[in-house]
Amino acid sequence: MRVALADDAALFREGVARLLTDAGFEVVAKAGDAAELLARVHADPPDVVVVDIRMPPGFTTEGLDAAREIRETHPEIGVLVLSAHVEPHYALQLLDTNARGAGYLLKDRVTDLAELSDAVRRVAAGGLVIDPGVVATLVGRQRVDDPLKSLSEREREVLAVMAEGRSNQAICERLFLSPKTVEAYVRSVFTKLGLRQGPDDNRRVLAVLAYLRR
Amino acid sequence: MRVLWLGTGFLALAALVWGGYEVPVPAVVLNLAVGLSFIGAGVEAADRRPDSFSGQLMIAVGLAWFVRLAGAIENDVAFAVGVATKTLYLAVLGHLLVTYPSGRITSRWQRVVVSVAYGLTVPVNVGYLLVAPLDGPQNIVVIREVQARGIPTVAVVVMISGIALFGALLARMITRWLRSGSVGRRDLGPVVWGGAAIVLTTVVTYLAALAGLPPAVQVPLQWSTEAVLVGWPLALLYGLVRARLDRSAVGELAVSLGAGLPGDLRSVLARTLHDPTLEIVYGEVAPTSRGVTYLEAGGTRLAALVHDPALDPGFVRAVAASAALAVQNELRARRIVEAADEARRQVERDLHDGAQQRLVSVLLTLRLAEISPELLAAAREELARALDELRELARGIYPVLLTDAGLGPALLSLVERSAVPAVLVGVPEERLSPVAERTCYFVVAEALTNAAKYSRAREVKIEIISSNGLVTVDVSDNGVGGVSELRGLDDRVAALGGRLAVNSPVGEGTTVRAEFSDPRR
Repeated sequence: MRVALADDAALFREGVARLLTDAGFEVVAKAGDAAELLARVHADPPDVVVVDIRMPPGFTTEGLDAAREIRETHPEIGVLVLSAHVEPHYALQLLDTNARGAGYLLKDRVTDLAELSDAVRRVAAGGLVIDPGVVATLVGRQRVDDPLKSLSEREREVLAVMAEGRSNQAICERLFLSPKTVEAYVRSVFTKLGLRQGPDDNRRVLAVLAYLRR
Repeated sequence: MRVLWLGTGFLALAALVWGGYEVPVPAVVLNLAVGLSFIGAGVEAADRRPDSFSGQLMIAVGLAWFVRLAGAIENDVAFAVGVATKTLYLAVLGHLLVTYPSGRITSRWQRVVVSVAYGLTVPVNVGYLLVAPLDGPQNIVVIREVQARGIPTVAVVVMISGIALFGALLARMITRWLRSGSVGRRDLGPVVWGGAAIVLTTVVTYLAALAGLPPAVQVPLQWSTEAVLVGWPLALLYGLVRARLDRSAVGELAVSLGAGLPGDLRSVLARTLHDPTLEIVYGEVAPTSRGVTYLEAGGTRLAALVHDPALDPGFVRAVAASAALAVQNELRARRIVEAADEARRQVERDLHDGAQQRLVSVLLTLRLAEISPELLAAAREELARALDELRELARGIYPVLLTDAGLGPALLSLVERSAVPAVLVGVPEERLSPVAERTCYFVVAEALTNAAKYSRAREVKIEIISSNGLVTVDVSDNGVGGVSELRGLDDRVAALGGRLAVNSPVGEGTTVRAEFSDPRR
């Protein structure tokens, strides 16, 4: 699997490149800013782009903007945005109604090789990845007459993992549950919150995130 | 009033010129000049200083001066009036001297002196008239040739009493002047030095009369008293009106303070007030016999001016009002700087006790991991926690979302992390100016933190409305209320020329409302 990488910190860029190479990915481009990344992607489209949100020249959301542009011009390329901010707002910027192949991950996570390569593979396959920290912020919000209080602890865990963009299969593995049990929990969560199950996993993520952001 | 001035002047002139006696020209001029000077200056003083009674007293001196000129008319009745009122002006003069600049009798001492002075004039003169063997009217205005047989005993007694009284008055005035502060001396200057000159010449004239010196000596002495009397009312008038001139200095002060608070506010105010002993006291004022005038702005005492009690209170209040505005701005600037410094200290503490501490233990764990590699996992966990802390700290210092995405997303993020349930009721669709967005954000952040800490509210509602460039931030909770003020926010909103209102009745929740205009528009 071919990966293009962009981060203005050379040490971090090289470190991530090495981790990905060790994990069996082929790092085909290493860019120091968004413009360079876009040029490399147009010249030789990879399967996945891993990009830092904050890069020169403005150090605001150049990486995020580049990721959205790539999703416009090359919808087949998966984009994974790395960020130092636990902010749902940025994550949701990547997810329009037909979102696929996009992810928002805290930079810290790259140290967990399994998590990093899992996220890269999932966005490459068209899935959505939302950082657990971002989901925790959304789920942990204090609400008056909180509808999430009507969920059991297990149901809340299932809800959180769903919001991270994981499939039922992944939920089974994460929570050590049987597929039937997971399906029952998912149905129960949707019923209790008054949500309709989407036709696919991505729609499901979007529905859950939209609900949590209300 | 001009009619009084011209009318009495004309009557006096008529009495002197057509009264029937030959009055020398210098005597006519001097007599007219003294009376007109007192009445004119008195009219002007009464007009400009309606608070003081000195103007009226000055007019009275002038009238008394003119009344005695009746003695220059060759007529029995006029002569009697002239003799009876011959020395009345001296008593009125004493009255004026003792009570200047207020013109009001305020102590027993003053009442005694003034009563004795009047008692020594008209009653004594009338008594003299009744018993003295005078044959027919005589010109009494110009000192007549003293007969060698000497002066009547009663006149000697009156003159000696007058000398004693005037001597006491002079001594009293000089001690009053010596005891006064610089402000008092400035006010008393004209009355003391002019008064001293008059008293001195009067006393010398009396002594000359008692000693039986020849008219060649006595007449010029009398004229010298009158010459002093011409100039003196003008000095008194200047003294009375100067307070008014001082007030124009308040305008200049306001203009110069508007340009920024001087490095040494005290000396600027001391110059304006002409009081070198002026002190500015921030905080409690110790009990003092000196004058205390407070600098107040918006109902709060900012500082106090401790000054010479002789200063005109209205004048000090005007100066204090100008200074209060400048001091309020200075205090606000100082609080803003202090708040910024305090924030830095807090960041330092957070860094030192949090991330820095964790990084040290990571370093230590890594060192130990060289021998026991299983510790690497612990080092990684500690490092992850350090990162979490740094991230939260950075967010608290400045929310990057505010610049990147605007007020709505930044406030939503704040609401999602709030310890007390919060609802964003409304946020303007359009972006505001950066400073307006920052102000909105920090007002909400501070109000939310406050609500979470003290209010025990079940819910906080946040609404921001922007309409025609006027921004309103409303943060209301349903908690216990009783919040007094939010100082840091007050200054932040005031910096945009807006105002912050905290409405927090006990038991009825708290509403924090900031209103300001967006400086971009």
